Amino acid sequence: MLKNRSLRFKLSAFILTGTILVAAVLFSYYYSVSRKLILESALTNARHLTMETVNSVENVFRSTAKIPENLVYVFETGVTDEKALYRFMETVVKNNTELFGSAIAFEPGAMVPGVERFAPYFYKNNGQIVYSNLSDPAYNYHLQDWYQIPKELNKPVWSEPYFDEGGGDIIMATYSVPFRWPNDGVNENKFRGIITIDISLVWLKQVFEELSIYETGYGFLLSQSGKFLVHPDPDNVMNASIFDIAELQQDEKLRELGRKMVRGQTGFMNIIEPVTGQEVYLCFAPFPSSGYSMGIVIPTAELFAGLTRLNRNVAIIAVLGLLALFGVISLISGRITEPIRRLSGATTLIGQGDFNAVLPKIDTNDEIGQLMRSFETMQIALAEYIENLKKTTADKEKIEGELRIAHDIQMSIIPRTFPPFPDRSDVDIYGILESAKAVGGDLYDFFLLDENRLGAAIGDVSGKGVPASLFMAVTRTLLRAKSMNMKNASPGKIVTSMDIDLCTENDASMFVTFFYFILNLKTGELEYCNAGHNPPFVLDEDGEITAIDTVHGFPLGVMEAEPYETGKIKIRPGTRIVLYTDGVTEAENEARELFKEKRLLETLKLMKDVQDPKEITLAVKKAVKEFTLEAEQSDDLTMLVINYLGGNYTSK
Amino acid sequence: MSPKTKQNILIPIVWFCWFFLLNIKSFADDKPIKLVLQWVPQAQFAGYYTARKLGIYEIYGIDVTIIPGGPNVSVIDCIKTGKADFGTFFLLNATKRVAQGIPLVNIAQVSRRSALMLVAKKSSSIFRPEDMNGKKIGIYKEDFSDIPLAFISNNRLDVTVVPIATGINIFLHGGTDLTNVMWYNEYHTILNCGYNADELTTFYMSDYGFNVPEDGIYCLRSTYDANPEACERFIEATMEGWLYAFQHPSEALDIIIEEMKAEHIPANLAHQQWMLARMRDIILPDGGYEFSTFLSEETYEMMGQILLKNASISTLPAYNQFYLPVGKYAEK
Amino acid sequence: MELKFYQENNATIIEIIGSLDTMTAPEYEKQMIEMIDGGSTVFIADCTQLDYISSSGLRVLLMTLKNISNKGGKFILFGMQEPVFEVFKICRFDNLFTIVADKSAALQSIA
Repeated sequence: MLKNRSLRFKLSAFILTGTILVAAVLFSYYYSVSRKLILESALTNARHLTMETVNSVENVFRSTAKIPENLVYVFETGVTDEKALYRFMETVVKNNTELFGSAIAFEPGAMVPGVERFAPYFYKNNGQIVYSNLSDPAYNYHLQDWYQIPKELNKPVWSEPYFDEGGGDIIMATYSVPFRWPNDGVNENKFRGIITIDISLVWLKQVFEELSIYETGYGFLLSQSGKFLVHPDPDNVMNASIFDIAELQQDEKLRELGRKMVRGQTGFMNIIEPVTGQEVYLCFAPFPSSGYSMGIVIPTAELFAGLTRLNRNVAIIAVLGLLALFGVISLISGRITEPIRRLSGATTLIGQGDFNAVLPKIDTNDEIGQLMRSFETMQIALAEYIENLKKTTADKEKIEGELRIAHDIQMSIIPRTFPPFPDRSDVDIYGILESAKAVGGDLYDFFLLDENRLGAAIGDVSGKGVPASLFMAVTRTLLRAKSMNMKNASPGKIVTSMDIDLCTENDASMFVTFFYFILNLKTGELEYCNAGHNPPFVLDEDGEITAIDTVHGFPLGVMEAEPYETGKIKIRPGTRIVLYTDGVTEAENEARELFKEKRLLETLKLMKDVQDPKEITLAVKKAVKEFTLEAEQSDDLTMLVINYLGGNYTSK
Repeated sequence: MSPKTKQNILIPIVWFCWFFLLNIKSFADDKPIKLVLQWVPQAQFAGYYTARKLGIYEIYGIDVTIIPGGPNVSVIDCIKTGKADFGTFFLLNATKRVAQGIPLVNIAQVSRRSALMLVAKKSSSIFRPEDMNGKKIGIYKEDFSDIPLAFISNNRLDVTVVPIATGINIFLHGGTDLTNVMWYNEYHTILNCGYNADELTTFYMSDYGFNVPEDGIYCLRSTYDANPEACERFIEATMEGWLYAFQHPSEALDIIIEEMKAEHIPANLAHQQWMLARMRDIILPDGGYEFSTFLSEETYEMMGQILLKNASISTLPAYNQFYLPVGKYAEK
Repeated sequence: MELKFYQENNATIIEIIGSLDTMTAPEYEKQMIEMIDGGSTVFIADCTQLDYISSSGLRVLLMTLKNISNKGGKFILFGMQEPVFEVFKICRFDNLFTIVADKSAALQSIA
């Protein structure tokens, strides 16, 4: 994926990724720690707020509770006069503003013998203290919670909150204290009744409303049974319990919270607020005297609002910072890689052949500077090399040009029209001279000295190239000149004469192997002279093959020695004379084996009945090619085949 | 289209047809019917309120007014004085009234099983009836007390009975070890005062040979004789109301809550939801929607023996006098 | 082709290794001219490792022979392989050069 990206991109990507990772780790750590600290501090604050509220409410409950407790004390120590009791109660209700009313309810017959129900009750009504007796049989106070529960439990009890009897919306609670009639001497310490005070709980609502808990946090109050006494939703107040809400929401955690609260536990819990559906933290604690329990609800989002804001800012700063970092990295990596890019551009130019392309100047001594200097050295070396190569190529072209010239010379001076004497029936000739790449100095020639005599020669100049071809040209010119000047001279004489001329001023020691013969077409007499050349083969009319293996002396141009002699044979019509150069016998195949005379002879044997000199020539050529196959031709391949037909010369 | 919505559509159509069938007759007996319930509006009476709210009574050609009960309303007085034509009673209570000579007749036994139960805190080490020995048991005033007392006597338990009038607070505060409650009502209140079901031991009276059903519809014999057909329609329409309430509980609860608010009674949705679900268990104990308002003679006799044994009555009124099978749901 | 020169008994011995043909002849020519110009006059060519000779090779041998002869020196070949000797024979160079069987014969002939 990164493979095809630039160095600059990769550098930036790796550094940025690393930075983001480090930043993310740091941020996560910072965030979790901050969150923990905030939570701890919120917990502490919430606990303080809860305890403060509990204390202030408890003060009211406790001080109020003192009233009936004191009454009981007074009562138990001997206030038995009915009227004095009434007065005392009236005074208490009057003097304690927080009291709504107070009752003393007796067990059957406890106050007035024979009276089933006796319960004087003083309460406030429009600023007046009103007296009433709760003795209505239909009401049957003995079975009311405020009487029955403290009686059964034998201890003071704050009642479940209730709406006042007047049908108003005033939430009331009753504190009931059982008392005993201690001094009748018979029924000592027998339960005699209950003293109660009623107080309004309306003020509790205000206490909770004044709690300031973040933005939308709130406090609530549960009764002993989990019923809402104070709650922001008035529908819940004095109606639903926390367990009802939990049941409707199917929230087991909320139910668990309720259970902890009604059992008077203190704690801190993370729940889902049923109305908003938001996560909240909840701190709860009981009012020990009444058994009510309060809770403080802190929306998590608000608790961490500051942190969230901070996070957002940090995130913005981080993004901006990373962008800036990206810019800086991009700039720096751009600056670092810029010479490389320039070098890359320059080397591309060099690669395209512009060896003078200017390499960027680098002053630094770092890796890039070193790289640049290496490239400089390479560029210079490359330029030199290419310059040499050019020169070499030019030289080579020059040589090839020379070779072409040599080839042209060679080819221009040998007869190449076959059949050469189409009007003659007594002789047929075919020859080939196939130059190798390195042109050799082979030659063949034939001409009619007169009507009945045919002169023919084959030669091979030592060496190759232009000097060889020039030497060959000279040889051929000499042959023609001498033959024409000395028409009746034997081949030995002609050759001797040529040798003298060729030896003169021959510093390069060039020489030419040469075979020359003169054939009397009328008689079949053949005079020949061999100056160091490969012996030609003769295929006679019966197909027998013999070599003309007499050699009369050195090749021409070696040294002036004794005159060359002339050999003589007589051939009959149907005889074919095969002249060749070592380009045939020394043709080399890829295994560096030579074609050799043996193979030439084998080929000629196959041709023993073939008269056509062309066919014979091409058969040999074919055999050579099949032998050498792919190997490069190293020397000229030259053959001259004369088919002596004999008979009288007739002009066709 | 789901089967449920199909049903929703079919029901009004059926009523509509009924309305036309019964319309002609309804003009003939145009007299409004007044029903008094034995307690304040709550899901215990969802069938009646639903039938009225949705106009089912009208479709049946009757004009029904509901008089909510409460602490200050005496159902028997309402019927005796003619303030109401019909009233709901627990079977036991109605029997006692008839035994006292009031000519009430049961024209529909709506409740099919007892909802009465005893609840104990496991923390009081009560797991079986015999564990109740030596414990304090809170027993509701007379109308609810017959069966718990019979249970105590049948099991030969030595318990301290604390008569209670107001509720379960005394039990919650630990003033009693056991209390008698209604399954559909106070039992749920206990649960929603923070007691988990697994912290409580429950004794369903139906499991101890006291399966005496409660709510039934009653009227004076004379009322029935005057217009048996109206009685029949009233009962059938009421049962239609129950059917609708059970099939559409949230709609029924809305109706109930509305009625409660109208009566200035704290309307606790969770509690009403529980109550409606239990009413279904009580009215349709076998599941499904096969209603019955039939009171069998066996049940009546079983109940009568409890009352006789408790000396709540001296003679049991004749079954045939007490119960009149009225309407299509009264067939055995 | 490779040429190795060493002195023995006042003679410069040249080992001609490989083939002496059109491609290698100029190199032989160049080195021999250097040796001759350096003053050596007596040369013995060790042909035991000469595998092949072409007409170009013959030419440069001939040139060496002429140069040395002109300076009154001696050029002797020995140890010639049969195929190479065949080539010498064809152009009668066996009559032109002093060709002996082995090095001792060569050394003897210059003594």
